Amino acid sequence: MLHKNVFALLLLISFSVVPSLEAKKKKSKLPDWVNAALELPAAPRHKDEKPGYEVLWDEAHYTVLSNGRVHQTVRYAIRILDLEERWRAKAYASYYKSSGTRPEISAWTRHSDGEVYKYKRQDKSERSNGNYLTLDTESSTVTIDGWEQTRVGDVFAYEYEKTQATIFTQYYWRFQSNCPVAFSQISITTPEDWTISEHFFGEAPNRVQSGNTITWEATNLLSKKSEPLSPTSANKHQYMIASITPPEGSNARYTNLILNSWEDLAAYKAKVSDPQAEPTPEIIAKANEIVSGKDTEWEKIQALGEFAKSINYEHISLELGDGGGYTPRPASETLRVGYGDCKDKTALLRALLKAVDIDSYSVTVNATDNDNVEPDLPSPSFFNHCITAVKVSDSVDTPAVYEDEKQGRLLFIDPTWNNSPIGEIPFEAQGGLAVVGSLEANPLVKLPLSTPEQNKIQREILTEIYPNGMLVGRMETTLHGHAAVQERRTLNSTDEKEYKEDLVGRFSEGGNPSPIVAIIDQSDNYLTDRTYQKTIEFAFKGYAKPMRNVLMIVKPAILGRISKNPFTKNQRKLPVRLRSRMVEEKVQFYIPLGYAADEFEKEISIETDFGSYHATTEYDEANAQIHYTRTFRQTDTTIPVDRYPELQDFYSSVIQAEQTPIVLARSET
Amino acid sequence: MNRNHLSRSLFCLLALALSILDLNAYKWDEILPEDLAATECSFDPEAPAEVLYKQIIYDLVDNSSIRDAKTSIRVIKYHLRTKIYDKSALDYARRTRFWYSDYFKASAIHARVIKADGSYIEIDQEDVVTKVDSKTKDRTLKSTTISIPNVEVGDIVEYKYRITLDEGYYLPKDDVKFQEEWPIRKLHLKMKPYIYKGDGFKWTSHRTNKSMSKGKNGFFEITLENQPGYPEEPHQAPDSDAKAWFAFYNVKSLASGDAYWKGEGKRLHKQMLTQTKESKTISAKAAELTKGKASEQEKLEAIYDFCRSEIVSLYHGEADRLTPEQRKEIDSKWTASKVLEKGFGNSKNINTLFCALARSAGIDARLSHCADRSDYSFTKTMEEVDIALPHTIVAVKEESSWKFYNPAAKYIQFGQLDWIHDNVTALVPDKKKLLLVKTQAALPEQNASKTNGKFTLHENGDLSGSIELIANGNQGLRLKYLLDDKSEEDRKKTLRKALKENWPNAKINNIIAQNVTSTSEPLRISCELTLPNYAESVGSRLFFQANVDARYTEPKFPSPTRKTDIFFDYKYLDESYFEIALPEGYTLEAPSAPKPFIVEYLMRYEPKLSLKRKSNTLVYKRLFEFEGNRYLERAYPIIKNAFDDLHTQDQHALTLKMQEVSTSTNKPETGDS
Repeated sequence: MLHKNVFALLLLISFSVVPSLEAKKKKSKLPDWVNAALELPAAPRHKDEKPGYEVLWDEAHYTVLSNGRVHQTVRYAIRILDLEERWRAKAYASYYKSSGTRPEISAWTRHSDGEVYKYKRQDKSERSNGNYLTLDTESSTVTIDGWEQTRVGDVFAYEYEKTQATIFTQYYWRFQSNCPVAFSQISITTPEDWTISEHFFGEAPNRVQSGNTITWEATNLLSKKSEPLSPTSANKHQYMIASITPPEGSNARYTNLILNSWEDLAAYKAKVSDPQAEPTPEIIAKANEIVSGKDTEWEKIQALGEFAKSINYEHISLELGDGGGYTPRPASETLRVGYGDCKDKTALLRALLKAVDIDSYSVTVNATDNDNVEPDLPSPSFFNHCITAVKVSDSVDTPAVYEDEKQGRLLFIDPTWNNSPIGEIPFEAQGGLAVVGSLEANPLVKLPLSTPEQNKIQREILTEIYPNGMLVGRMETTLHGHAAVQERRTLNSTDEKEYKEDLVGRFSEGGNPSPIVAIIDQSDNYLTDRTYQKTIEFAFKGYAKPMRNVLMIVKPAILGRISKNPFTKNQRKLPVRLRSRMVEEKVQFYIPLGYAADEFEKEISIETDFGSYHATTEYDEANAQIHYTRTFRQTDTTIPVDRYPELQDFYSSVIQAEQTPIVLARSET
Repeated sequence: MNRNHLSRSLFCLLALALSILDLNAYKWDEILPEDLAATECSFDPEAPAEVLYKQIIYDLVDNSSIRDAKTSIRVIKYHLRTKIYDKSALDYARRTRFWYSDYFKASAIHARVIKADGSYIEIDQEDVVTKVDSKTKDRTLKSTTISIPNVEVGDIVEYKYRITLDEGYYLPKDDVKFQEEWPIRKLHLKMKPYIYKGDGFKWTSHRTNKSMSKGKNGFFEITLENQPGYPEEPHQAPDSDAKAWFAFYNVKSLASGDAYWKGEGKRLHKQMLTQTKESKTISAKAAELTKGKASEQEKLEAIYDFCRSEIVSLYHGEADRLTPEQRKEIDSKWTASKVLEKGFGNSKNINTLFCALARSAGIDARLSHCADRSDYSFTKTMEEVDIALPHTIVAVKEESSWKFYNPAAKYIQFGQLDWIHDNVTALVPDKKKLLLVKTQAALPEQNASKTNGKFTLHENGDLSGSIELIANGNQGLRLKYLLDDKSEEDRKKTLRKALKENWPNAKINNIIAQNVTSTSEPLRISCELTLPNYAESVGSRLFFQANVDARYTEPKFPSPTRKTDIFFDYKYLDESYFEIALPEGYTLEAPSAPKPFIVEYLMRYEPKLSLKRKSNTLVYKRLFEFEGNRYLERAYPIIKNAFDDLHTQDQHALTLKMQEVSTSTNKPETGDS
């Protein structure tokens, strides 16, 4: 009996142990959607394309609640095809701490042999979003990094859910990517009687409506890769923006940001910015102190603008779900703490201006891409920066002044970019569309675009060539517009020694050996005509190449020779965006005694509608001098694909011209 | 109480209130008038800013609330005062950010900006922002930022804060930089050692001849003055080696000097015997590999080749064949038998196996610890093997000296070391003797490259043809490390990018990379090349450079001055051979050849030009031997001149003239064939 009991007990133990052992060996299962993704046929490729990865599944669902909260579910799966791309095996889920729940994220790597690894809690990490200029932010991202686990042929998949309170009612979805995409879908569920309007770019996706849910889906998408110097407008992937509108009388209508027009966005900007730009007694006192002794309208605006610029820049992004990214802190607070971000500095500047009876607006722009805005689609998502528009009279006339019937005469001031003087708009933003935060009609304006002449580098050089090939000279440079800004950037970010070394580096470009450079004089006319001027004396050992004391070869283009062709690829799929550039130079060479100019190109002229290059060489035998001029000019324009070969040829010709030497021969043989 | 009495009372109350407020206000030190007035650093006038005073105190606070032996809490106090001389320093000076883990707490933060007239603006505590930067299961990283407003040139920025370690934690080691980008007028370090569970405490400093002295209340102190700034310059020695620093660490043994190193040699010898213990599998493998090999060198080479080609290294080549579980499994303490069984490992594992197999074959091989040339040079005063000699290689007795091997450097040929272990100090473990030995230094020809090219120069100035690079030694090693993990496609992309850097306007086709993962063959890279506008033309003449490789290179050391030592990774030898078919109808005009030269202990340059008349082909040969090592900053003028001369000679140009108006039939200065 005991034996039987023991036996029974043993059996019981073994039956209970064996299943639990099996449970331990049980493989992780994938959710159904991942299995469905694995079953899909591979997304198409361009001819000869070998993508490093492909998207199998890209899905988001938004459930908009009537209380203004939005529940979001995201699912994403990629297959790694090249080891260099496995860094893309990473799950990201961002949220705002004050208005959202921390996303619950799950991720898997499904190896090519079928084995599945499910990521554990210890594989998750969280980081706050921002950069080195971010003082504080509530935006955070939860991540799972699949780099270690994922290899070529493996699939990395993740999904998450989160709920967020938000005033924003637009949803952006990009179907196409820079790799092939098999399946891409977005769906939105709204409460009863809410409306959804949609805007597409590129081919419209399939649309299906079921009750209050609309689904847009696109499958088998080819990749779309950007090319260097291509304009954003030509490079947009297939995407859509959906705007949600609650019905009249809905409470949500007053908490949500309804954007049916640019006027709506402008009114919202005015609503959140204007109250923060009210002058307090401290602001008034400060403004009066700053403008004391300033008589003209321009002097006052300039002084106040420079003060706003002097405030430390610190990026702060809080209460983002409630529009905190657009709402500045009160101007008095920014003045007190001495720091702020672009919208804070704008509010401060506006309050200071108002204190001396000058009106202004808050303006939304894109600081880094002047081709990003879709004029037919009102949306804040195209912008990333805030500047100021000051109402000015005819007495103020600078490249940053804009005028139209509705908005009147406005001077745009960016209180964030320290190296751009008042009177100029930072180069990268010029020509872009901006929203003036006023209640006037047509708030969407095009920021003024400067001309090549307004960004010119101007040089006058007097130089002497010695018989041993040494070149000694004096150069006077005047930099205008963007050229001056770039010089200021270098000066303000390097100490004296580093700046000199940078200058020496520039002089040695093109293989110029052992340059000796001394800055004789420099002046930054930041507050007057906004140019930057400097006088440099220089010497190069062995600049002119002697050929057995019979010949001497000199390149007359001494500094900033264009030697690299930015357009070497044979084919191009996207247009090219050119920006304004101009270089104008005059050089006077004294040639060594006993030598005469033997061969040189008297004139080189390359002319197109997008750029031109002219060089002249004149030999003054009586005075043993050579006079050389060169002018390079490029306009702000877009070159279509079919004209790409013309652009290549233009640059090829310019490079050839820039390398063209002057041959001096001994005149005594 | 009359009115006057009331007024007086009120006045006294007010005065009392103000004095209380004043008592609660932070007590800053006085700033010297000369510091307020200064417009430049007295010992470095070009510096954009000067750290007037930097103090770091490693204090211990008693905390009797903790029950166990760890009753002290580490508190680190920072105090920094910086004067701004140039606007380039403003951006950096106007904000301070420091990071710390979640078992630290930041507190007592005070900051101010002092104007030239002595007045100052203090930062409110509420304007100091602390946030969580990142969080994982095990660790949270926080940062505290102090943004100091209204900072202008001429101001002084000052801040203080302290970091307190949580109860139950201690800092076993730490280091303090004595040199930063800006000069430091006075640096004061105070340290109260924290001895944990009977460990000893040691300290060491680098590149300073001052030592730590015993101060009051259990502190050790060191004060340095006029520390020069350390700017960034090209070809600098690694920071840890070039800059001054101080480090302290808890140790098991308080033995010092030779006694310490001898003790470590003995300890590591015992450890080596355990890890390289001969087992059946080890002896069988050794026998298999050395079968038929007569000499010790042949046996060693066979074992070397096996270890570097058959054991999967964690870092290179087929490293991605290892699963994440395998990678996690790797343990430096594995015995040689274990490594052989597993077939993979880290550098130490591979060297352990090599050592064990060699010993099994009767060779006196020892698992040695050495310095890392890319990190810092060995100094005997850093009495911590893991820090001073962090890497493991194998020493083999050869007659009366030692030769070193590192099969973990997968692609380096037998008998040579990878450059980070070249000519560094190694501790060879021994039961009785102290053996601190220098590893062998490679000769330039051991790091050789050969470039061969065949080109045609066209009348329009374009140059087209093919080029091949063969790289050996550390030259090959570096390129192989860059390429071995990549797919064929990615290798081509990487090489195309590198080739474009050398020839920016080039059209490059048919890139082939061979022997990328071979442990025995040199790396070979070839491609077809077209260089538009290679030659410059004017009128009837064409001007071009014979050295195709250096057509677009820039001078290596353009700056006329230097503040820091100059460092080169390794010695090497480059040979080039180019044939350039000249365009029909053109002849050389006033030809001359680039000039050879030698700079002792630095370089040897031997270019040669000749002309094959029948085929009108120019032949260019170049030999460049570089002895580069490490040089003091005062040698810079010589080094700069040498490289400038090299650049000038490499850029040597020739003139071609159309034959019908040819004025010269001179031969080039060197003979033709």
